[in-house]
Amino acid sequence: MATARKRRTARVPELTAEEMWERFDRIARARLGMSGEEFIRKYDAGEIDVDDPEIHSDAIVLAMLLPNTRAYQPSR
Amino acid sequence: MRGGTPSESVGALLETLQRAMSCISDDVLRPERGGYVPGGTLSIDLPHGLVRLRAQPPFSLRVEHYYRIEHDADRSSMWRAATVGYVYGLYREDGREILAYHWHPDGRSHVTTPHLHLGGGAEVGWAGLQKTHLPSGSILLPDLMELAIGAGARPRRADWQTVVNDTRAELTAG
Repeated sequence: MATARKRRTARVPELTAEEMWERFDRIARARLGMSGEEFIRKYDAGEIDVDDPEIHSDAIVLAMLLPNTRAYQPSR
Repeated sequence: MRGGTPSESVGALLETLQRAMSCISDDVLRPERGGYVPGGTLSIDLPHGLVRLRAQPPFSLRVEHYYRIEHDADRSSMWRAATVGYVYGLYREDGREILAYHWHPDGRSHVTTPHLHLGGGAEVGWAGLQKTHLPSGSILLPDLMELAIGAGARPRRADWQTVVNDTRAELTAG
């Protein structure tokens, strides 16, 4: 195989706790025009239709990230 | 991707995805916090969000890769970082989505099979195509690399086609 995998490479660092929330909040603000907290509030209230064509990709990404991001919400 | 430990299996997945990414970007894919430990759906992505590619006109890349760490069904002593979803997309400079490949079997969406979206950035003439989910087969990250280069992104390495082929084979083999 021409591009052989390196067997032992340095472990890629995980996101930090701060980066976990920053990533979520940044996507919500940049792509949906709302804070991460607002997205969570609306999502939990059933006000976000993840299949809405206008927001589908971004809503899906945030919905996928949400379960593991909740713990890092600053207001908690 | 497999490994003797959960961490090794994730490392193998990351290494292959990163090698595919190297065809068009030097941005580093990173796992989320806890991403080396079994337990639920985990994510790998580009922490700074959309990555601007060298192209004229420029466009950007989004990579969201979802996986679970599980025991290998064939070899119980081994672990496997199994892909369970993705959102891979290309975006215009103004942020409009050109296209996005999705697979999100978990969650609230009523569409659980792999599919393609054409966004406003594709400037497709028929509005219906921008509203619907276009069925597709499963897409691998190297497929997106090849698509992006075909769309005008400048390769960052001369052996990009070989890398695409190799990483495609590795991800397919699991």
